[in-house]
Amino acid sequence: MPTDDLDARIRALMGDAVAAAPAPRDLDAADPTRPPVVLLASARAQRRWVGPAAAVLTAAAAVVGLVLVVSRDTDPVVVPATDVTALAATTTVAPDSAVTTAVVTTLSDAATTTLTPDTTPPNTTAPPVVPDVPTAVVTAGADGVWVVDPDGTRVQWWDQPAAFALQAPDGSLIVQQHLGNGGPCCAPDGGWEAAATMPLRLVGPNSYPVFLSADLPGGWYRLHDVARLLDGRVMALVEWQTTVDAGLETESGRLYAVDVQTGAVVIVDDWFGGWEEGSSRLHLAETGLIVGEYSSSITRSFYSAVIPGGLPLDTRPILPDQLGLEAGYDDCADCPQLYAIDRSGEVVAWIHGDDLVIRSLDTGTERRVPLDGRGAAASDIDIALQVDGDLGGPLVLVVEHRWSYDSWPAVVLVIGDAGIVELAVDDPDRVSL
Amino acid sequence: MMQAMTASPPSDADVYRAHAVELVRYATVLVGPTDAADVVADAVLSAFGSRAWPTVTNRRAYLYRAVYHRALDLRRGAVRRHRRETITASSERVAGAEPSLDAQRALDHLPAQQRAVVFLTYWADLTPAQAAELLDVSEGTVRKQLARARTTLRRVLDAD
Repeated sequence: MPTDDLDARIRALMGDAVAAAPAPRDLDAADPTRPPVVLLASARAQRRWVGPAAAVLTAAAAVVGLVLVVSRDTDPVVVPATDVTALAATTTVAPDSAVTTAVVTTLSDAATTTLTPDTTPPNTTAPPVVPDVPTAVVTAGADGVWVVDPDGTRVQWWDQPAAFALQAPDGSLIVQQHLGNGGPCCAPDGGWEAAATMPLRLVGPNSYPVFLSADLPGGWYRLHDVARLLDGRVMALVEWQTTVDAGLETESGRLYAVDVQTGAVVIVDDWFGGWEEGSSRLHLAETGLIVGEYSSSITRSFYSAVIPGGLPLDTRPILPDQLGLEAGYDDCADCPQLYAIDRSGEVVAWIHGDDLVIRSLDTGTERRVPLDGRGAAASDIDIALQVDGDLGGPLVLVVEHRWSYDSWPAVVLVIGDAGIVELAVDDPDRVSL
Repeated sequence: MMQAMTASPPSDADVYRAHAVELVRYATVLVGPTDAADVVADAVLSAFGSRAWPTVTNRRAYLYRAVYHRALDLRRGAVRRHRRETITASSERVAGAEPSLDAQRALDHLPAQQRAVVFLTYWADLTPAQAAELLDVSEGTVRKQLARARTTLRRVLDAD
């Protein structure tokens, strides 16, 4: 066990807490008048393992025959992660049956200029009738990746099936073709290899992996968010998990922040996910603050972390009690869940019951928006806000509903002073803001 | 007399006497002193009344888990109660000193499983492997929860 001043303080803390322990009850265990009892431990233990066990069985079946291909097997050219131009000129990402990649010829400009989408997009449709939307909406699904601009114009950026996509603030697009530890058991298309979960960055017609280093651990990846931090870095938040199922001893995953323009990687959380643990989608603010929901066994809790080295330097994770939340909610169906933070880092939102709760970190002002049944069925949320000091003003909320094998049915809600309008989005498999 | 001379397993009363104090301390860390004795009493009686109890080999671990799960139930009920009622100071309190506000406040920042791990590590001086066996989780989970608890407690204690 580590020993430092903190350990001594925690020991003292335990001493204080235990000193308050009352005397045990004088217990007559043989009291025949007591009603029959049900041992909670066994019943709960069964329930507790059903979900994780199913997930692990699924994962175990999925990894059978899995071949990890992350470029090392065929062309292990190691390039310093910061030398993007060199990498672009010399490295070809090993082709994967599901991943289409191309060599980027010039990336040096990407660090300083705002990129624009392909000038001749393969498909553009007439703007649908939508209310004022203060942000672009990105959809990912079987028909590729589409960006719906605030004026309603739909532009297709990627014509291959995609599981999730995010628009980066430098104009590029971060796309993930598959999510999760796939396999023949788990998907209509026969599953996928772990390498196909590697997020790709699309710049014009070119694409390349977000992680530039060849020295990557084998496993699957999950893209959470991308944002430009106040220090100028455009950081993608990506989770890594092992595909090696070791039951209780399964290795913990890791949460990375990747500078998508330089490839520099920062470990945000070295103990993230793993056996019986996981998170909702995490959200990244420009202050480097990260917010989401973390689940560990039966406990779901508010999660917050900070990308190291950002600005302002004193940015610290948010504690649950700063938001009036419990440290964790155990096996609770009607508790706060699915937390998100807006890009400015000033407002946190979550679902409680069927309501969207929006809370200002500065003032503590809280606003509740009833979602007419959509909140209660939510499995994930995304949020964009243009709110004033009283949390008024328009906001856009994406609510992803419970997952089914066929789709991730999502709805986009524009919440304004006049009420809630559901935005018409074609094939809304996965939607992000 | 002959029965008394054979190596029979300890009676339930013996088991309770052997572990009651440590279990109540454990429960105190999980739910606070007011409910700790009741949590232990309920958990122990539930364990003794279960069909599995006669076949349990590690009875101490079994009771620890029973207390943990009973504590979770109580915390859930307390949350619901807290929403409905205004909590007022009760004149009828269970015997036992008040924990320091610092200790109570610091522990409030930890989910139940982290409290359990912190207690077993820092009070009971168990190794992660021993704590894992007691809680019926992996050693990795114990280390992870301990790391998270330490991170939270460092922040909470530094802020004081």
